[in-house]
Amino acid sequence: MKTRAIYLTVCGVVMAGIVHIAIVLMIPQFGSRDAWNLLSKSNDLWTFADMGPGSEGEKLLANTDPYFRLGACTFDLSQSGLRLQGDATALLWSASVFDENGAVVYSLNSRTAINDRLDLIVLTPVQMVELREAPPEEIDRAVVVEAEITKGFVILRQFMPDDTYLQVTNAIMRNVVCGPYHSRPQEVLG
Amino acid sequence: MRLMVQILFVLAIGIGVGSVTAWFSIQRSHGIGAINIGVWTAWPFAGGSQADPYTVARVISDSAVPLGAAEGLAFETVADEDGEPLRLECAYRLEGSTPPARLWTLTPYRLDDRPIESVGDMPVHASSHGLLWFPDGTFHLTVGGPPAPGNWIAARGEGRYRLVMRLYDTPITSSSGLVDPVMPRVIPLGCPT
Repeated sequence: MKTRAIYLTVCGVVMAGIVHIAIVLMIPQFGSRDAWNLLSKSNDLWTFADMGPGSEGEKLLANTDPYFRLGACTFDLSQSGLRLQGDATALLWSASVFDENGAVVYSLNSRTAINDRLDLIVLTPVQMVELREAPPEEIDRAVVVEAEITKGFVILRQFMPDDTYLQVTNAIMRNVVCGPYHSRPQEVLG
Repeated sequence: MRLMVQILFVLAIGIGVGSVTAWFSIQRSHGIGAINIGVWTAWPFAGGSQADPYTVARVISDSAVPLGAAEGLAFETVADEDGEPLRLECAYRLEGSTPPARLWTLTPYRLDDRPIESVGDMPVHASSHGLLWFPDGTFHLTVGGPPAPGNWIAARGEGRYRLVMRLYDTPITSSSGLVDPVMPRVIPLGCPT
């Protein structure tokens, strides 16, 4: 009887281990509170959404830095690449490209960008090959990133030292453009 | 009948213990994939594709967007340097310096991620922008308690909280082995209330 009880407890502990591992590994697949799920529900694809005070997205993401204004853009690379552009600013900004699971694929900040200006192109490997065949002029000024993802989102963080920068920050965020990017140039005959 | 009871017993232990330990290790995974400097902890791989499953699960269940390596690194602490939990009733002094960074910000959060309400115009968070520094590049910052001269933020109220210090554009995310990074000490100043 006693050995039976010990045997059953050991079975229970082994099963606890399996359940534990299964829960941890299944959260990325079945979790619904992750950033991609929340953002793709509230934002349209290819639309840069300012998540500043008073906006719909203000309370969407947890644990954000009060000194930074966040903006997000969701994308789907199955048809075209992504281009995210903004004005040059001396204030610190940074941006990260996330995949559907919320893992950072690429990140940059205003110092690693060209002339402090946000100009980011994200392409799949196939689109990258097309781009290399006939490099268009704009890739000299843009940060071009190859990513093996289809869906994802970009988070832009714009530093706002205090409330006196509110108008400047509003203007910066208003001028950010997020849209599809087609690298294939016009067919040249001959 | 006895077999049914035995199967139920195994299932109860398995599902019960399994889900409780999973929940705890996700919510409180303070050792996995982390680096510790003094009382501060950071998860440098939280945003990367090499993140361990616990960190990934934690990021997802927090609806958080971690900082990318080029963006910066977030350090947090829930305790002072005596190991006592940080409480809004108490005052603390941050003292020392940070790893090199273009900017850092310090924000208190409640443990359930709610921000701490500001009372009137009193500041509830601080940044390296507009801070008073000592000539040697160190600083003192009082957190909580009555208004204090020098750098002070009003983290006041009731209950436990955590401090998050985010370093932006910092080389320690790319070259951690080169320098011995230092973070400010968190010295308890007592609990006036």
